[in-house]
Amino acid sequence: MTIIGGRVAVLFGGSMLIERVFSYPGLGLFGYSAVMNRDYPVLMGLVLITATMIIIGNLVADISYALVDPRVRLE
Amino acid sequence: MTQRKQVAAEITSALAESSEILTPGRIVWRRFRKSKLAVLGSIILLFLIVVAFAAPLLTTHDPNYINMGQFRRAPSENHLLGTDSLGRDVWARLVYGSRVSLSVGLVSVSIILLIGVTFGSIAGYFGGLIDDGLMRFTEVIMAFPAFLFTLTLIAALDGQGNIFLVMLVLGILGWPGVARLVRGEFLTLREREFVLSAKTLGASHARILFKHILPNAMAPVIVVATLSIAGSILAEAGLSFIGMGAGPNTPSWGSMLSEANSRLVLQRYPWLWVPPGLAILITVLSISFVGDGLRDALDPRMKE
Repeated sequence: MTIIGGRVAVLFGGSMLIERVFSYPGLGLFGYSAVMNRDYPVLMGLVLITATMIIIGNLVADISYALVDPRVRLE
Repeated sequence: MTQRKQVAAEITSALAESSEILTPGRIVWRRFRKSKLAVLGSIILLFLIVVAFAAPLLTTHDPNYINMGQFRRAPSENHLLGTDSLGRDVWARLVYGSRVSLSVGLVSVSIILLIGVTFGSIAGYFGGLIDDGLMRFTEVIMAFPAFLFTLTLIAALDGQGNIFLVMLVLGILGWPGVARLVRGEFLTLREREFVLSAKTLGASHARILFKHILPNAMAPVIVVATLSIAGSILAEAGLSFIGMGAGPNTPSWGSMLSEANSRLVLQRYPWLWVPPGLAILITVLSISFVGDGLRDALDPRMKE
């Protein structure tokens, strides 16, 4: 489950590659074109959004530990 | 105690088998040999290292020599794997590309180890506020979307085509995992009796850190380091694939693979993208096998 939480980052990286290959318009391709055009405000926003998603992913993983394993208690 | 008993049993049973003296190194080597995949992986890796060193002997072509009169030629005896869209010899680029890929892996993992082990051991050994501060910083780095951030950094530093920048960036973004691992090892090891005895004898912090704890924490670090070499090679290939890694003058497997971006090449000129793709696949796979083999061999709790 720790691994699933950490996968969120890889997901975004992978989406960049895949969206570029198939030119599928999504956040990944958006980020790629922002990098290519040196569009820093867009990049900062994207990094912020993905970082938030990663943190939420980790949080969900941590919380679900408590749900699955009765030895872990939420204080 | 059970661990010690197990090791003792292992030693006696091994002594019955052969008369050689079993040092810890030999035990690890014996276990490592047992895994066929790991041995196969290390043979392939050794072969790749030889290829990387002997690149000029394996091909007479210059990997960067552009010959527009001979572009996308099918494999022939002059060009073993044909030529690419700029008339460069694919075999030569493949052979020289092994240098790029292996050095990206090694250099970035050295940086990862340098930062990760330093941070992890300081945090784990001293604990308290230092630990809290360093670990929060580690978590901040961890929360960055690695691929996007790598791309951004490379673009911001304007290092398109600079392979050393790729190594550096992969290194400075990859260390949090190692730091966490080392910290965990240090947290358990510093409470052990041998550390207490070293402290009682008046050993300095540096001596306890380097002489007593660090060697004991190395086993899992070696495993993670091996596996992150594979990760770095893959990341470099991905970056070069979208044109942000190795430049056009650096023969790299990733940039060779980016030829497959065009549908025409993908359908009609397979010698342009099959060889580098296979090379990446085989390299990464054998490194992972070696890493898994090392993990099993280095773990003292593993049963024979």
